[in-house]
Amino acid sequence: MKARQLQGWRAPGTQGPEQSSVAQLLWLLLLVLIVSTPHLRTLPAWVSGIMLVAAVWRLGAAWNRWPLPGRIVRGTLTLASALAVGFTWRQISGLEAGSALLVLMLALKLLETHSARDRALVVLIAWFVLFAAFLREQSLGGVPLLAAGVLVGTLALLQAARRRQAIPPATGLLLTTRLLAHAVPLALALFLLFPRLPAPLWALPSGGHNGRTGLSSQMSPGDITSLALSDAPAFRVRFEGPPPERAQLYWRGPVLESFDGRRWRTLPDAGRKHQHAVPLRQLPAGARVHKYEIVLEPHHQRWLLPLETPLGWDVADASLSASRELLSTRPIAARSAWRGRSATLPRFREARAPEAATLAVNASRNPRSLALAGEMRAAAGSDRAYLRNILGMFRQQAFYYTLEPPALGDEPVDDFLFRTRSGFCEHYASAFALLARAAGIPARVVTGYQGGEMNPLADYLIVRQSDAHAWTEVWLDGYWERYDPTAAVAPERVDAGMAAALPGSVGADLPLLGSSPWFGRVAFGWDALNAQWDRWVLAFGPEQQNALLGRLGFSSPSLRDLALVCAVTASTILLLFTWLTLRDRAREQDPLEQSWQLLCQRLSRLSRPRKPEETPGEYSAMVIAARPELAGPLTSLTALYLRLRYEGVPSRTEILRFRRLVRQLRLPPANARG
Amino acid sequence: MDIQLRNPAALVQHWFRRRQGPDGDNVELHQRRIYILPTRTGLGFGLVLFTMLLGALNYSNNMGFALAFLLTSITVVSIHHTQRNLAGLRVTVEGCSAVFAGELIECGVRIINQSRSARWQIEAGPAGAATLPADLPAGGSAVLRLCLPTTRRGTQACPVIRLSTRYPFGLFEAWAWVYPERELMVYPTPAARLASALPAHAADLEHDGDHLRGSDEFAGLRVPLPGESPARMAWKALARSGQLLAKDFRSGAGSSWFDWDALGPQDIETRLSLLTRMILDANAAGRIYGLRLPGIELPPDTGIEHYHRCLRTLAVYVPEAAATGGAGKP
Repeated sequence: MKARQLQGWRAPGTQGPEQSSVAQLLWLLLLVLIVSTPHLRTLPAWVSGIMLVAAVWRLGAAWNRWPLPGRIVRGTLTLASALAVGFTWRQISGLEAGSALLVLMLALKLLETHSARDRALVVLIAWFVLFAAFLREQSLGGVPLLAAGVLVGTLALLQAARRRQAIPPATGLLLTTRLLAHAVPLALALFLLFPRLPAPLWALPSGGHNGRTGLSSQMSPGDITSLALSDAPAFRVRFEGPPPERAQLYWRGPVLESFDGRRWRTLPDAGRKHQHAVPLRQLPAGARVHKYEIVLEPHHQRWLLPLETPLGWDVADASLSASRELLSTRPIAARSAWRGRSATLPRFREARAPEAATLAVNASRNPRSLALAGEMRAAAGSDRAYLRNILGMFRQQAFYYTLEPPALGDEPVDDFLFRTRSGFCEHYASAFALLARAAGIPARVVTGYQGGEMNPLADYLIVRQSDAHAWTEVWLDGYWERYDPTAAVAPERVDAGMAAALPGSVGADLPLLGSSPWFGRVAFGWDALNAQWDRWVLAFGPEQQNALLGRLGFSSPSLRDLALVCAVTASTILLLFTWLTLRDRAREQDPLEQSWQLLCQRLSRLSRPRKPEETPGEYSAMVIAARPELAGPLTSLTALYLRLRYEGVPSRTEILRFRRLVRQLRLPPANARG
Repeated sequence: MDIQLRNPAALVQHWFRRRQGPDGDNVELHQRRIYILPTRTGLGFGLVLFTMLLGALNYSNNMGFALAFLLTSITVVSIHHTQRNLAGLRVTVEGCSAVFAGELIECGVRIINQSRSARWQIEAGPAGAATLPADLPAGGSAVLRLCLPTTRRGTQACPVIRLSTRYPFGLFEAWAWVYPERELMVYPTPAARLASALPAHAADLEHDGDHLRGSDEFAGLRVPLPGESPARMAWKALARSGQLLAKDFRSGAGSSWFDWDALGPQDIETRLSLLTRMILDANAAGRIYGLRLPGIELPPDTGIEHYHRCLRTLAVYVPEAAATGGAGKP
């Protein structure tokens, strides 16, 4: 071993004022780039512009000694960007506005990176920006982002904390990976076992979610002239056993029972009796029961969207509302999975008389439709015949199915039935329900999703926002019966999906999967991966933790049990880690020191153990005084030890020689004391 | 002592010192004596982690949980790495040879990394003085040089050394105190060479300087002293036994005495300076000399050990009057 020595220590300030090296800055910039990418995609361009300017400015300052802004300029810039955010979003606390503010602060902090603390602060803000990105979007694509953000961030922090030049990248990477390898098991244990909350601590901001979901608690067909078709998944379903026919896949969402002539609304649930699931024995002979698992995307509403008609569910606090909506007690704020059983029935028994609201008609609106209803009911022999005739009218007359219907006026149903005659599911359901009510038949509009698409690469169904649908239920002979007037106009919509129901030109624009076979396969494969990710990772929550504890032998696990298991596991991992490193340390102990300890131990049997404060010279002198016959070998051994220890760094052969001498030293028996 | 302890910093320092006890010249930093606390950056990071965890809990955001838990684990593991970065370092005090009052004591504190892995960003310095950190490669070492001014004779305590590190992330600082037990010896300032009063006894005792062939008696073999002249080594004995020993001599007649009482009515420090000068010159000339102070007598001898023994005696000499006066106090 070559003796390596360093210069030693110098007082700070002897090398000029503190500043960041280019290598340290490059790591920081790489981290900033990684964590701000997901935000810059969605934020306005001026945010990216400011980030770019800040990065270039900082690099120019490091390379070409451009002047950096002083405190006043930085303060002004900070204030200006906060104002700009407030001006753009009218708030600074929402998710998007908050992200913009964080990204801007990160950019501005780059301009103030002189000391180790400044640099560390950049890394901390960057990690928080990454966290904000996950709050906005947590698809499978987030995994590489997480990995890169943590790895580069750790490396950047390692470099940032140094007050002399940066570590060579390879060494830095080695140190970081070793550290991460130690950290990952602990992180995994915490992820699985750290107690999760079943309910949020404070109200979630609702901004930014409404635009994306296909369902809402009200519907006014005349207002919408173009249905925004979103390719985004609403939920995924895995059936145990063969899935039902596509035409039977009605996923039940909000039920709209109140109609004022223009707008459909849900009735408030408060004060109404909850329903019970249809008992199995009441199922008609031959009805098939389907078991399935649904992974819901967060839609920030309470609907669980079961397959019609729900018979059972494993969500503890969910219930059937008076209108037979399956509701969880809290809004679905995160991806969540639940299991259920349903029978695909076209009608179900409802002994209780329907609400008066399901018969209510606003007589002052849509007079022509009400008159038409009177005529048609009089012509038909029975209620059923009447309803059949309405469907026949839709089918036989010039009604069209389109996603871009003309606007409707103050009498939307009249306008639709007699003027425009084109629309999508909401228009048909709305008109059908009104006509039924006008003839004295209780009717309501049910919204939800219809259909779904089997992923050919995996065994599950994807239901997208574009599968959102509205249909009607009418109460006949003590049963609620499903009538889907859209199916009368465009049977393909129900049998084959939206794309099939539309004329070619519009259908081609639909961003649905499967348009080209190759792209379709890739897209389905990616979706299958995402579905696994959702099911196993993102939907992991309190229920899954309870199941995990159940498997560990806890019969009715509580939050306290979970905290206990979590603490015990985490401590065990830490102890194990400490033990491993201590073992390394023992193995690493200086062989010279070991040999000297061995010598002292052997000598202690002849006289007494060495006191900690005794120098080697003093101890050996003491032993020699007690056993003069050892003077020769002990003196030379001690001298050799002192030389090896204090004169530079000894070579390996010298240390081995010392060890050999210590081992070969012949000591007289302890009892032969003079 | 009590006045000093009213200062909280001194109180803490006192606690550390009492807990650890004094250190020899050669200390290995065991885990037990390494202390660790979060830095300001570390506390800030704790706040960020807490916020992340709250956010993830509230939004049931599993990616948020993953990030928060990864960063928490990295922080926890980094505590261990910070401590390990300091543990096992060996600190030796070297140099620190005695000087005359008014000169600078130069001390070296060598920090040796005896492990097989590099140690990063180690800071070392006397307590309260900041230094730039240094990296120690495996098996490497670095020296902290201390220059301590001296003003008066006597012993001076070696300063407390603080070793610290913030590796890897600057979130935690581990530190250790080393209290070198060694007392630094400061000899009296020697009087100017042309001193007026030379002792009557000393002037007439000229010696040829070659005590090996002179009147000194050979008194046996002993362990050689550091820095001892090769002329004193028992080379024949080495050839016989493989053991390096030095010859020991006892002085016979022809030695000189440097006597306190012979210096006349001068003040204590002046007398000590004069005696220091005499011993300095006598040693340079290789003469045999003894030292006589009130109550202390060092018989005539020669050699480097005797020289330092004499100077040490002068450095710590307390005149009887002062000693009895001091002892009279409660």
